[in-house]
Amino acid sequence: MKNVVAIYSCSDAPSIAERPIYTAKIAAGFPSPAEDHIDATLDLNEYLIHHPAATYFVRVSGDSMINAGIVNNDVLIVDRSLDPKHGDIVVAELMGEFTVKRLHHRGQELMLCPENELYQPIVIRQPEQLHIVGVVTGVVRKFKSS
Amino acid sequence: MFALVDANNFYVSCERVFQPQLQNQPTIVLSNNDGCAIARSNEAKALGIAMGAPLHQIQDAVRQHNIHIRSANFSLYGDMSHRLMYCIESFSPNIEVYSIDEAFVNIGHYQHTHQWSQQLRNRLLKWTGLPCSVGVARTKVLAKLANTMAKKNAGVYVLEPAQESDILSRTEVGKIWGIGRRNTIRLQQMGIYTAHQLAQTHPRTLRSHFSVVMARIQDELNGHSVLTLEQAKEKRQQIMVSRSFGSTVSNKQDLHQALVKFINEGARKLRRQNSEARILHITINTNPYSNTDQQYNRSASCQLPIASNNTAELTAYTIQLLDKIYKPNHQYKRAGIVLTDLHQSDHKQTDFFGLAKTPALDMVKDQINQRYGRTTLQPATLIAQHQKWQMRREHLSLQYTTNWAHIPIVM
Repeated sequence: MKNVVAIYSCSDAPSIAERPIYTAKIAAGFPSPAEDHIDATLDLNEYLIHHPAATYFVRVSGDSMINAGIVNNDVLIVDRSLDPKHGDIVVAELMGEFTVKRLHHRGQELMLCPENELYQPIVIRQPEQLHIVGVVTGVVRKFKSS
Repeated sequence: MFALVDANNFYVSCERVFQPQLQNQPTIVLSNNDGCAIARSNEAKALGIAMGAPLHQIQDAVRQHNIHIRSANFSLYGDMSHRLMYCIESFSPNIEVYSIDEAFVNIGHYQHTHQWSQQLRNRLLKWTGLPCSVGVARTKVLAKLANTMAKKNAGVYVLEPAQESDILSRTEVGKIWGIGRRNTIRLQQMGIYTAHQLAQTHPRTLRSHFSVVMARIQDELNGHSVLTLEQAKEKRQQIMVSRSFGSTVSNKQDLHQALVKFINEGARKLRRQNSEARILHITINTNPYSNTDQQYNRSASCQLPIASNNTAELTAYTIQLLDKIYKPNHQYKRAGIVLTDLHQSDHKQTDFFGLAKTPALDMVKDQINQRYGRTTLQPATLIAQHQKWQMRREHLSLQYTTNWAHIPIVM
């Protein structure tokens, strides 16, 4: 089993597709009166996400939260770093699946509530059974796909 | 004081965050090409699945115990790793990322280390879903030891100076971070079997038989911190991209396609660290384990007139080299490229003709690929339906955090 290493010279430059020579950016020819007042452009990431390392996106399937303005195919912004409070919309893990519901926690009462009359609240009898993944801080919905 | 923080069974844990049905189930993650087990859950370890066990050897155990299998999902693990490190840094800023799932933290003279460790663990579990272990000690070498002990101690272990000699007496010399098999044997031949014995050995004895690395390890074992946090990442001196193929290829077009993909990746890595390469080296191999395939292993190198990190240019050289070594009628199983003799991008030696390059073009391509996906813009030759040489990954989970089409579903 030979393992030959051969060294070739590349004195003849290989043919490469021609590329343009200009790389300079286009500069405006006049000093803009707005120059000194330019703020940062609006950034959706900054608006929607406050703890990027702990934030995840999930997609909604179904209509159990329709009265909260969350519909099928919405993207939800889930922040794992927040402590869930009574009234928050949360993503929880239940029997191997993820669900999105409103958290009801008043004294001993612990429930995951849908926002749709057709669905029943999920009563949690043992708090250790409830595994909340994160708090839903926003929803993203596109009307026109690119 | 240093802490070593790491995720338990990292790859498996990443899978479990998005597939909660895997919790408490024996689960393993396989290496590239679904070759062998590179991560095992505690349940799988308990069933006797060894690290690195080849899949074909453990098929029976897998079937018998319903062990869940996943192919390595580096898109996912890489993203989760970044998140893990950001979270650690948010808790304590002086960190050194040591590997994909481990980081050292310098916590100075902070007193309440046990509480600190618990709080860090809790935060990491909450923010990332990854269970972690925290080991704290006076030096990095000792912190590594403490971390191992943390795994058997509910995830936290603070190694106090007063306990050091006791713990070191019960630690084999081969288990120390930085001491490999060869050095372990040599130490044992000298009568040094435990970490404590190593710590107590006369420094001159050590220096006469080992390098300065061993001397530093000894210092660290004795509680003298000589290894500081490395903040800056060293630039690579050599960039290699090589893969075994899922199934063998024998026609030149397929090999060409594979090498184009590898050189594309290599050039990208060069640009990322602001380097240019002067030497390009390619290899093509048949399967060394096959009894039937005729063996053919060839390499070819060339030196570029000017160092480059330009994809088009490097690709052209790659193809030229392939032309010289390709032979038909062989079953190729592996190929790779190596870029070496690296130079800083900014210090260029131009040739006499000053050929115009377009770093801007490559930069725009990198930016687009970063935003829209690694393969958004790629050499035309890679856009093909069936790339026969692609890795076998039959148990691959989704890119839950890096692909809009794969984000988790909630109901």
